[in-house]
Amino acid sequence: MRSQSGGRIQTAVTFAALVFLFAPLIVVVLFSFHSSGSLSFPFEGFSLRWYRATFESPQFRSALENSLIVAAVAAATTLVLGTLAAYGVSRASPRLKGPLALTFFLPITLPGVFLGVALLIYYVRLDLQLSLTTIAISHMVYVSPYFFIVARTAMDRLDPALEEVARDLGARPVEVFVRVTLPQLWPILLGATALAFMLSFDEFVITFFVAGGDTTLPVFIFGQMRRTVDPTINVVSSLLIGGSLALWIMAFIYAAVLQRRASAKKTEPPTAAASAVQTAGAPAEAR
Amino acid sequence: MNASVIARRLRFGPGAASAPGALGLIVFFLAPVVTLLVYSFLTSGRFSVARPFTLSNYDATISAAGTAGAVRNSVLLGVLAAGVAVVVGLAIASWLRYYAGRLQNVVLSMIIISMFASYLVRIYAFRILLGDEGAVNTVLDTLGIVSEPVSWMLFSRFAVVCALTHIALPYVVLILYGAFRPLDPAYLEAAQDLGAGALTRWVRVILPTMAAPIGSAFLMTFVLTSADYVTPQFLGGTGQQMVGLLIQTNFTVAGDWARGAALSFLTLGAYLLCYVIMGLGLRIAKLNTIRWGT
Repeated sequence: MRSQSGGRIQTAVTFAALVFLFAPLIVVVLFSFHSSGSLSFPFEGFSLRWYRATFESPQFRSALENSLIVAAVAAATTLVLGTLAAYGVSRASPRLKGPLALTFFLPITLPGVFLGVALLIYYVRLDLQLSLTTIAISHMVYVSPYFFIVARTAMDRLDPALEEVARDLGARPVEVFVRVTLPQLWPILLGATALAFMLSFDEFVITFFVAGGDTTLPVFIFGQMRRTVDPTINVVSSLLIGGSLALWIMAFIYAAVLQRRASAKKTEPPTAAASAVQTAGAPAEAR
Repeated sequence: MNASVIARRLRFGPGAASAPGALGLIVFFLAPVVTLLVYSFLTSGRFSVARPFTLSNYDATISAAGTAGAVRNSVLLGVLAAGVAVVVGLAIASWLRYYAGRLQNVVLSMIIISMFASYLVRIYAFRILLGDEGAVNTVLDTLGIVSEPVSWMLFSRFAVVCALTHIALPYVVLILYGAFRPLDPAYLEAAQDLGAGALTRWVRVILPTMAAPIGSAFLMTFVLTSADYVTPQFLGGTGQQMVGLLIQTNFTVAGDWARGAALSFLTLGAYLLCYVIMGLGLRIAKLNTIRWGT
């Protein structure tokens, strides 16, 4: 397999695909800095005027604010409900496990347009005013399976012996969860929450149906795209690309730091078990 | 009597922790879907539905003039986008697995990063990329390949397939890359030592062992792309109807909720049928489970 002639086609396709994946994004970012309003070559020089124009636009600001609120609410709720759900499924009796896991996985299987119209008629049926609230609820449904998959995989990988030790030493179920299970998981849960935040922040397909008069950032871009080809769309797009890139790099560095810390700890293996024993041994300290 | 005593009496297992989330999904996922199902059997008003129950929505949807064209278009574009994504994805995934060497992490990261670009941004990007004065035409012109701009690229099936492939490709690469992991290079080396050329190795070793993940990547992409309603709006030519767009128009423009609901469930049924057929096909060909020997 390591022969020099092998894999030429694969190599060519891979690099062509990278160009295909990045060329559109690079062009968008490039023209966000264009000094003229034209979105075609030749490129006439750099300027920040479209960034200034975007930040001065009240519609943009309110859309950004709405998106941040919705994504924060959706991600925080998903963190709490999703963690509990994943814990429940991974510790449930074998008979309950399958159906429960399927329930939490189900929303991911439906195309967005389907979920969008179902939620729309449901909200109207319930006389719920379409607003940021309905957007946030819809986003929770949409992002929850992604969070659940990550959290459940992590829970299943935990060593059940630690929880058993804690229980044998007299810790109540809630104490076991809070003081033994969660401390081992929170880095992964935080990562999954960041993923939920990003998915919500970028969601359009469902949001379009349930937004009513409220505008999130993708809805704002959609409106702009409909009207004209306008350099401010490039600015908003570039900000979105930059924002998710920054979040991703942060997560990457964070994971690398954790990994280094974990491998440093490996020289003294019993620490996790020891802390579990300590936790369970001193339940009075818990409150 | 405090909560934990009640819990112990009712003999809640730890599975009870799932209850709040499950309740949330029953109220805001299952109930909406059931409501939509009920609506598909009701009589449509404008942005409303009423009794009596009827099957006429399904009837009318199937026989409506626009439906056949939209279905044909959706299937065509979905198959094209999914097909291109899977073929290219296979090439990338096998490169990552067998040839990338030190570049593996860099290229994998780049593919994940491209995934984080906003959905709408990708669609918008192709609009400014493929236009008469867009980047693609500029490059072609500078290289002397064409003398006047290629104008068929934008507002066409080509543009829609480009954007849909762009959206689907990173997912496909990740699925297939994961599927390649158990396929140790030793298997392929053994085939090579026994005289199998590159094509034979693909046809007789790689594709059969990867049939199940390839099938699910293809179907997932097909569902994702053929139900899309934004891409055809912005990049498709006039009259480029697709099923997703038809559903959207029924709900937000025409206000014909019952018909829209019927179309939604017909579409969903079709997707389900695809999955069933694929599952059966894999089982009959005995390709659904691969035992990895050591």
